[in-house]
Amino acid sequence: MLRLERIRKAFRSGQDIVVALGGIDLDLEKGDFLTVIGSNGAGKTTLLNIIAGTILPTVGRVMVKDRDVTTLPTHRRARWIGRITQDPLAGTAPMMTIAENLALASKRSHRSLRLAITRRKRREMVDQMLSLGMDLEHRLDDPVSLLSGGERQALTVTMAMLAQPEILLLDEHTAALDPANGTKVSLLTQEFVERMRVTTIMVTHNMEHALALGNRLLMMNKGELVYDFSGEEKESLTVIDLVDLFSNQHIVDDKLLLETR
Amino acid sequence: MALILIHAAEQGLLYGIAALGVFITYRILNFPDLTVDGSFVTGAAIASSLLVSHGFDPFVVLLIAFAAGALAGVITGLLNTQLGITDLLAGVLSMIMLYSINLRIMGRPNISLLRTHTIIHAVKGGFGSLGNMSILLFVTLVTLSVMFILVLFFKTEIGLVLRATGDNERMVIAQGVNTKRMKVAGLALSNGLVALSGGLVAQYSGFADVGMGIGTIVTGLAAVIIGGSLIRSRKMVWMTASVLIGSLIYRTAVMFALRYGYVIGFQASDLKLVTSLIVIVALVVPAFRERMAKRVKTC
Amino acid sequence: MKRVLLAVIVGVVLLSMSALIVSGASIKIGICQIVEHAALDAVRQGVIDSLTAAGYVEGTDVMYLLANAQGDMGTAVSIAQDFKAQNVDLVVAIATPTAIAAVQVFQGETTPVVFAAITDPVAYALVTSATDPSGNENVTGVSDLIDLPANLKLLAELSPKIKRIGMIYNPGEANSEFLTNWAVKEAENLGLSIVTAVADTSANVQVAAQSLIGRVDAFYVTTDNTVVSAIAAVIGASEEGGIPFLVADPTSIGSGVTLASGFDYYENGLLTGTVVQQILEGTKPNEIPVVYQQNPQVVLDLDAAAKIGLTFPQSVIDKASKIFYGGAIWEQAK
Repeated sequence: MLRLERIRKAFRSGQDIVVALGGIDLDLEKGDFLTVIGSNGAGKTTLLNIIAGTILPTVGRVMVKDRDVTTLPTHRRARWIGRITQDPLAGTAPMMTIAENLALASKRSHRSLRLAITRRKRREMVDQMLSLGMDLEHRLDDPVSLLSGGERQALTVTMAMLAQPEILLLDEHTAALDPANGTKVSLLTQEFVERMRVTTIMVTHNMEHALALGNRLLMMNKGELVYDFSGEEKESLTVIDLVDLFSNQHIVDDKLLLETR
Repeated sequence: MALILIHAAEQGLLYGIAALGVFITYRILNFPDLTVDGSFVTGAAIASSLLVSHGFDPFVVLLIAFAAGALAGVITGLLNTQLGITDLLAGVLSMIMLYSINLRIMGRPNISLLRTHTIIHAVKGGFGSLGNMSILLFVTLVTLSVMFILVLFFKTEIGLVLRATGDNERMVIAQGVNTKRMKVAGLALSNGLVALSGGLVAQYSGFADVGMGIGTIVTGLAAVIIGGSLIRSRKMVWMTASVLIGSLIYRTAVMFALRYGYVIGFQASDLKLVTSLIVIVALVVPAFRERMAKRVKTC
Repeated sequence: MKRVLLAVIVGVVLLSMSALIVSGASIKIGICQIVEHAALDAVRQGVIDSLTAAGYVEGTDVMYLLANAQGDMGTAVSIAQDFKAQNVDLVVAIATPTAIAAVQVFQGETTPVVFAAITDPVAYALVTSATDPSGNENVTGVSDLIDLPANLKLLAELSPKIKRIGMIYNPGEANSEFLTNWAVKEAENLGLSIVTAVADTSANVQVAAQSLIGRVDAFYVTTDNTVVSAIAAVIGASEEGGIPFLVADPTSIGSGVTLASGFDYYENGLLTGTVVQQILEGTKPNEIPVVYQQNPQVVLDLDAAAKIGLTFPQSVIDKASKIFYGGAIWEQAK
């Protein structure tokens, strides 16, 4: 489904060169759920950016379903790739209503002069909002700016699901939410990823989540993949194991330790 | 007294169509577009020269004017999206280019439409029995039609995407939309409306003059901002209506200022200054209010 | 914000109510001009003086509503509409843009519209015919069309060496475009040639004038407002290049132009005033053909001529009605 070949990314600032990613190879099958952990600066977000198309790699190829998409612009890749970021405000259009946002998300291509929200669509939207359990089905015509961060992120996840992506990139998407909403959104994401068999890459600072979710775990440090666990190996890992592995790598990161309960 | 209000209403609505164009770029796309000072004249220029030299039908001429304005918008859009020129500069460049182009279209710096068969003649001929109200009724019909077509358009899939492009571009790109194309489309629609307004105003005033577009962006903004401060709703119907209401209020104020302003020494040339002041105040007030609100919160 | 706006609107309405003019039985005449300009102001004064002299006393017999569009065509329309709303009995529109607006607004009405200082009323469809007024409805007026062939002939008369005439003009001014094109055609008939230089703002007049030095034998400037407002620049070029300079505005004599031939705008106003009188006394506008000013004055500046080494031929001096010499104006003793 998704294959990264020898991905390298170097940023240059004046005379300095910073290597954000130093040669990453990755192969994901359909339905794989990959969790990625690492300290800040490990290159996790850069990796996601390259997959999504926001940044071009210095060297290497990105293949989606055996098709070379390395240079394909973001909006063209959006057909297969969905992305949810940490900022709960970034995934929705604040001046437009919930209904309008949902309508936007449900169309991936060939937008026409047809009415965006038909009566049938509206009924579907009500159902979609009902399943969130956040009382949003009564607020379909409220501008999204009136919603809380958690509500907006839940909406973002719903919208991502409507687009029926084949690959979903999650960049610490619950990190900025309060625990209650964070859990809600996390569960919502899991449910939809499982149901639709979406190939998922989730970046997280929460080691428990990293272990509990998905079938594969990646640890990154300084632009390299240092550990890659899958299947039974991953299941038998504990948080303490991870902490040890981190210190082996001489990573001292308070955030990592604090995030884990 | 009634006549002055009728005239103010006529002008408010006719120029209101241009204000709707400014609304699309400034409010919806967040793209300050100065092309309008040029495209307004382009509409007037094409309409007048086709009417005078080729005796085109006055309604057909308006459609052609719209198309010409849309083309001007496309140029600005391409300058911005393909050549990376910033929005303000792209608009200014287009505006300046249009000055020469408009002169070419007209062949002379102004064209008189006095004894040409214009839309006003057609209306007076058809609805003459209504006297002074005939033009106002016609203008109201046209403007409201434009407004409702616009509202309908923004309910379509493409219309929604256009709005979202100005609201959260990153999101829209991630939804598979080529936002560069959207911006160009938005600029085309906007300038098409402005040119349509120019074509109507030319026929209404009886002439087209190469300088008649100067200040279109400011008077358009004044209408958008005055209307926006009166009507807060985010619903498209109300937002577009507020633009027209803002234009009506502005034109009425202008008429009264011209008629009675001499009492305080007001001159017609002061109009542009006053309009700009209105726009500045209206732009600053919301930001100022926010700052005051924040201060209270931190107490 | 809402309240502020409401207050402003209420204030304006109150102000307007307090300024309402009580109209009596006197005749209301609306006079509008496109800009404040010495020439246009002179026309306006001429109209008023002419009517006053004919016995229409301001305040009792007649009331003037004066308006100035400050260069904006949209404002010109609003002014005309305002006149209509105030039920004026007659409109005097000075200069082309204002006239077009007035004719448009009063189209189909009975209110007479009298234009003044318009170069070519037919080209702008103010009237259908200048000579046969029957189809002109409620419009008539006075044209200031300069006698361009006479001007060119006058220039040629200054010296047999004058063959190439330089014209500086603003293509953004309608009348200038028309006059320049006419000059080009007329020059051919006279065996002369026209070299043009364009100045779209008064700031660019100097560059335009300088560019003609060495390429022309004489400068000719018509009633172009842009160039006339920057006439000093052309005078400078004239002195620098030793080039005789004819301007179609007699009031500029004494500033350094070599000679001037044209109509006096005050007289244009007086003529317009007589047309207004005719209408007030019962003649309908569509019975009055367009009035063309006659008898242009020729004025010479001997000091300026001396500066560029030019001696006026006797034939030219005979045509002059005034001469500027030794810093003072001398009238031709008749």
